[in-house]
Amino acid sequence: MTILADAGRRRSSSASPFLGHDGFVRIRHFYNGNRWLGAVATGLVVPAVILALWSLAVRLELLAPQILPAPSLVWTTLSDLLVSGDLPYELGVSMLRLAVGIAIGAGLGLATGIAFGLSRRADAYFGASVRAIFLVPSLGWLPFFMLMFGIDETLKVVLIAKTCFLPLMVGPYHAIRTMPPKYDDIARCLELKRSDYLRKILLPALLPSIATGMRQAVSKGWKVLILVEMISSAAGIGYLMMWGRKSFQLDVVFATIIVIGLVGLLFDRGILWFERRTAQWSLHAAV
Amino acid sequence: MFSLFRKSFGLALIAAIVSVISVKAETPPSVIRLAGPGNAAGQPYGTNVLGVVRARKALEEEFKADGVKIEWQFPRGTGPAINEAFANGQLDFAAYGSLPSIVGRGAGLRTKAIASYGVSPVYVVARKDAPITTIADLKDKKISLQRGTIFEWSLNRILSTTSLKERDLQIFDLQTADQVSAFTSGHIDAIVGNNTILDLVDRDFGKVIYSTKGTRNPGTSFGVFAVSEDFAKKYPETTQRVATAFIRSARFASDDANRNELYDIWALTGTPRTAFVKDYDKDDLRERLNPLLDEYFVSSVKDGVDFTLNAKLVRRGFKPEDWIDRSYIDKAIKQLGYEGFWSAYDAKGKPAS
Repeated sequence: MTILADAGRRRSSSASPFLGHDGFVRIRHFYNGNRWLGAVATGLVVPAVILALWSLAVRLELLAPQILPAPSLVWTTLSDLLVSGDLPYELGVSMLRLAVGIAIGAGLGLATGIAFGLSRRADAYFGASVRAIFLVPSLGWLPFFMLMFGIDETLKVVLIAKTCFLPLMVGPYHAIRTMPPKYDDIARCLELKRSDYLRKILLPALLPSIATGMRQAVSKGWKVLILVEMISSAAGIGYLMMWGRKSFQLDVVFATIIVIGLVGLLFDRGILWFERRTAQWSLHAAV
Repeated sequence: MFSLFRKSFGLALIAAIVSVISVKAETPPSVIRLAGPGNAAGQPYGTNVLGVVRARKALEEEFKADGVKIEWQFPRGTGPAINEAFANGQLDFAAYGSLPSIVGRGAGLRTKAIASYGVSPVYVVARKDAPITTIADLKDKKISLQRGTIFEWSLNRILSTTSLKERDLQIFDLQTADQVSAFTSGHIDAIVGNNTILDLVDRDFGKVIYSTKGTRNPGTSFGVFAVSEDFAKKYPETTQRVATAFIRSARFASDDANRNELYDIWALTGTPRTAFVKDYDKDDLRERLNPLLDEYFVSSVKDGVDFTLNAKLVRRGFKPEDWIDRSYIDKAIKQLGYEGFWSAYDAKGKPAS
C-alpha cells in the first residue's frame, strides 16, 4: 500500500488538476482503478492469444470441425444454452450440490481441526486415522462410495464434503498449535469464559487459516463435482459436458469448459479477496 | 487356324494387359485401421461379424501378401469414441451401433455405410426384488443406460409403446461396470442393454422384463459397418477386399454349424459365454447377422435420423440413401456366389417376398 501511495504522490506533482490532499486521493482512486483495469487487461492477453490460435487452427482446418469447432459456433452455442435456460439450470444444480457439500465438509473439517488442535488426546487417538482416510483421493473412494451411497445426490455431496474436509481441518489445526501463547495469557488474565475465549480469541486467530482452507476446499470441491457429474449423473454442468461429448457436439463441450473455468476463477478470486481481508486483519492484530 | 491363334493370342494379350492394369491400379495402404465397440473387460476383441473377422484373422490373411498391417481398436468409450477417431482421421473402418453412427454422420463425419452388422435384441433387466414386471412399471424408477449409444434410442422406442416418456423415469448415464455395481447394490432398478446384462440374470440379481429377442420389435438394436469416405475414394479396391472379407465372415457366422465356435469367439471379449448362448438361443444366425442393407435397414436409419433430430443429438438430418453404399457388398455377394443366402427384410422387419 505504501509503495502505491508513494507512486501516486509522485505522479500528483506532474498532474496539475490534482493538487492538494483532495487531488492526491482522487489520483490514488484513479490509479487504483486503472491498476485493476490493467490487471484485467494483462490477464486477457493469454486468452486472446489462445483465441487467435484457435481461430487460425479452425481456418487452416488443422483439426476436423467435429473435433475443434469454430469459436463463433462455441459462442453461439454458449448463448443458446444461456437463453434456453439449460445452462443456468444445470449450473444451479451443480452450485447447490457444491454449497451443501462444502457446508457439511468444511463444517465437519473445521470442527475436527479445532477439536484436534485443542485436545491432544483426541489428536493422538483419531488424528492419524482421519488423515489417512482423507488422504486417499476422492476418486479412489468413488467405487466404494457408489456401493454405499448409490448414485444419487448423496454420492455427490459426500464426495464434495470429503474433499473439503481436509483443507479446513489442517489449517485451523496448525493455527491453534502455533498460536502465540500471549493470547492464552490474555484470556487467563481477563478470566474469559470458555465461550468468550472461543468467540473472541480462537475464532479471530483462526480466520486467516479458515480463509486459506476455504479457498482450497472450493477449488478442489468444484473439480471433484465436475468429475463425479461426468461419471454418474442425470443433471449438472459436468453432465451437460458429457452429454455434449456423447452426442458428438464438441461445441457444447467447449462451452461448458469455458463456463466451468470461469466459475472456478470467480470462486477463487472471491475467496482470495476474503482471504486478503482476513490476512490484513491478522497482520494488524499481530503488530 | 492361324487366324484363330492370332485372335486368341490377341485376346490373351488384352486380358494380360487388363489384369496387369487392374493389379497395378492400386497400391494398398501400409495399414488398415478398424474399430468396434469395446467391452467392459477391455479385451481387444469384438462381437457380431466384425468379432469374427478379427478373431479368425480374415483381413490379416487377405492382406498378408501385400504386407498390409491390420490395426484393431476396441475403445471402451464405444460408439462416441469411434466417432471421435473417425473425425481425427485415426480410423478407416468401424462396425458400430446405429445411433452413434447416425449421430456421427449427422455431425458431418464423412463415412459410408457399406454393410449392416445385423440386428441384436435389446433387454430391459430389472432387479429381482423390485416391483417391476412391465415397462409401465418403470415410472419414476431409476434406469441406467449408456447415453449416446443405441440403448438411448431403444428406450425411446420401447417407451413409445406405452404412455411413458423419458422424463417419467430417472435416467442415469453409467458405464457398464458401474451399472453392474449400482444394480447389484440396489441403487438402480433397471438397466437397458444388450447381452452383456444377461449375466445379471444368470447370477440371479435380475429378471428380464422386456426383450426384442426373436423379433424385430421396437427397440431392436442394429448397427453398421462403415468406411471413411476418404479411404474408400483413395483405395476402392482395398475397400472392396475388406468388404468381401466381411461378407465371407458374415457367411461363416450365419452358418448354424459354426454356432459353438461363434460363442467361443465372442466370449474372447470377456462377456461370459453363457450370455451369448442365452442371447442367440433358438435364433436364426442368418437373420441375426444379416449384412444386407435392405428396406429394414433404410427405414431404421430414417427413424434414427428423426429421433436424433428430435432429441437434438444432431442439428442436421440426412437422407439414408446418401449414406448407404451397397456397391461393395453387392459385388462381394455376387463374387462369392452367396446370392439369395440372406433374405431382405421390409420396413416393418418382416421378410420381404
